[in-house]
Amino acid sequence: MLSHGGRYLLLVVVALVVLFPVWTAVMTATKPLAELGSLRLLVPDRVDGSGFVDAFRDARLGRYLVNSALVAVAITVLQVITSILAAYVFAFVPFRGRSAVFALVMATLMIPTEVAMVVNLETVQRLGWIDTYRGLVVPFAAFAFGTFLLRQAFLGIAPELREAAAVDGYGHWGFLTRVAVPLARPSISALAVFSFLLAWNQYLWPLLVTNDPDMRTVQIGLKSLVSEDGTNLNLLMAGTLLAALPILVVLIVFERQLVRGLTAGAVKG
Amino acid sequence: MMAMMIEPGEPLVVPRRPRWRRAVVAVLAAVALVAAGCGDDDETPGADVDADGVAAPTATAVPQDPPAADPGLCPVDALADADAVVEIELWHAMSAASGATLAALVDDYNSSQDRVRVRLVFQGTYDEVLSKYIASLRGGRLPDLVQTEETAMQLMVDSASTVPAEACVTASGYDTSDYLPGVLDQYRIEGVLVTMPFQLSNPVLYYDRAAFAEAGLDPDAPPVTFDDVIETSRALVDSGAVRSAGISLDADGWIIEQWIAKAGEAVVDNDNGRTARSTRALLDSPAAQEAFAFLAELTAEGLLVTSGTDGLAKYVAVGTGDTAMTIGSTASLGTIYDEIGRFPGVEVGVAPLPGPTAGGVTVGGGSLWMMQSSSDLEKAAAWDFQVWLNEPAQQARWSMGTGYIPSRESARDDPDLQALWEQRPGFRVAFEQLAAAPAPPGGGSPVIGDYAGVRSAIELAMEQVMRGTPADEAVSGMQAAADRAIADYNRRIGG
Repeated sequence: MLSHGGRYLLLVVVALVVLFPVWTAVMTATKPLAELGSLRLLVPDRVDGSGFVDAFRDARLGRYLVNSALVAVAITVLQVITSILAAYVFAFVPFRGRSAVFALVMATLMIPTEVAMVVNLETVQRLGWIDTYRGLVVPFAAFAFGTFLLRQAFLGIAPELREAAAVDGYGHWGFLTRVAVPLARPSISALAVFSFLLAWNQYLWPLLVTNDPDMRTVQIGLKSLVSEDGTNLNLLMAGTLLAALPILVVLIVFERQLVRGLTAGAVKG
Repeated sequence: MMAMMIEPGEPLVVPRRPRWRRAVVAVLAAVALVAAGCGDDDETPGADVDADGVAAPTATAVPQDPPAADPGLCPVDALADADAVVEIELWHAMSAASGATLAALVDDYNSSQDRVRVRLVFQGTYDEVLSKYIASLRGGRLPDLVQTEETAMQLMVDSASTVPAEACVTASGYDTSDYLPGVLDQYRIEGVLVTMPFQLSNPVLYYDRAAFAEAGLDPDAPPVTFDDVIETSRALVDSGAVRSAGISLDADGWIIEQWIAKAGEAVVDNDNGRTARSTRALLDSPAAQEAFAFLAELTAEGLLVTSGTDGLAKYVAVGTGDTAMTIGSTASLGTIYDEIGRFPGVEVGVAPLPGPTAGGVTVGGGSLWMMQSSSDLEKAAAWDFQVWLNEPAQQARWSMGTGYIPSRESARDDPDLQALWEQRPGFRVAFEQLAAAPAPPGGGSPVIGDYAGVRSAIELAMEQVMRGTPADEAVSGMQAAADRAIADYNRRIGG
């Protein structure tokens, strides 16, 4: 076993390795290209914050960040709600053909998003949802993987709890809200983080269903900073760091939930 | 799902041969989207090929309508009757500095007159612009102008949704005599001007004059032939003026196509697909063999570092002194001077593309297309904007902000451009290289339906050779893959 000090040393080394790319991103955001690629990268001798200012001014990142936040939060909330309800049915409400329906839902995971995109785009165009939040959110309101994940979590709930709830006079709704959801909180948190990440990082769909710059999301804004013939790396990295911040916030917020959920009841056994 | 057809009454009125053309749009929409979703880096030759068996390349030409150039298609005078400002939308792929320059030009156009307002919509990369356009043909909202690369010409013509620029030229009696030789021919298919030039580029040699001097080479005499490049690379490496190799290249198929053009040959049959639809690749020609043998020799002698598909790293290698030469688009001139030129001890030099000298480079870059779905007023407005955009003064500004080449001969008289040429001679090199280029077979770069498929076949072969595969082995694989891509496309649209 490592000594106390040795363990900390190891942790520091690992932390440095993990943080190095973030550090280079920060340096890239604040230094000219000619000073990158050398050891001077490690030292912030001439920090220039104009990339961050430009990211807001030239690339309109402010508006894009707001749009991305609205869309990602809406998608996350909808996916969590629909996944909980669907998973509950697949876990606790028996009906004829249930496993066939469940297999069908799972089968949608096998279809690459790009294949369905032309048809989805046509549908959204016919509905007149181009350049609307509806067009950005509604197609992602349900998520088969979320249903799968939460069904597994619900199936892990001891049958005795269900019986106890029934004795206490809880119906499906009571059992769902008082017992199943609280017990599945770690899985729900994981789903929320995952949904938010996917929604936040979406690129092709928002590009297809928006033309109005006011409706665009941050990933498209970042793309407008990239050019095959010459990219302003300061601006790009500054924008990328800003775009990554909300993900960090979501992770920090939900990490507590994740950990609390995982360790709940651990002590009492 | 692709059996769904466009419903009657939609604006997509196709005059002739509607059946296969609509099918083309449906098939291409799916293909284009999948390709865009996959990104540029993991393309494989024939990735969009149907699973139902591989058709052997045949010589049966698929019928190709010459794009109709009836002047009635382009009501250039409609604007005179406008009683309100006409708004038109332009979908483009110009990001970073090019995007800013385009936005400034459009602002100037909008404030220079009160009849037309152009609205710019950035739609991602060229691939993504094209995907979105093709997908929107099936009932979505369409722009009035769309920007594509030159590689999309056949696809755009096959979509049967565009107004050939020739119609507008004829209808307005537009004088084209001041255009650089070859620039308009680049956008002609079967003699019909299908689209108007906009962002014109060609490849040049970027080199570090300081490293040349250090190696005892004359910085004013950059390499001209393949052999020169090899000898120069040896001198650079042997003298220690570079850290690892003479030249850095990425696997960009465009360069191979340009070397074939410089040998005076074509990439595909039927005069590069310009007298009739192309039916097979000519990538096993002596010109292609020579280009790949050149890459193989550089690789074998350790004179080349490749940056794979990374287009920026090859420039950075020159900046850091790993190499002292690279080949890239003139559209990178701004980056080269502003970023690479700031590396310590680097002095930027720009020279015409080295290689065979029997022919000349072709126009790269791309153009703006007008849409059939636009109203008469919108068409007239789109043409008015395009005429303004191609005026020498605007072309000079466009060139100064982007490195693209002005389309007009008289742009060379623009005082601002002359001042820039004085200060940064590289901007002039590209212009003169294009102005002096002899006409390639068919008048321009290859016209291929599945250009992406052919190009990824070329790029795969480049990567193979740069990793040490023998040139002839890579070339024969490339020829077969390119033939397959062409045949599959023609079969899909030919029914």
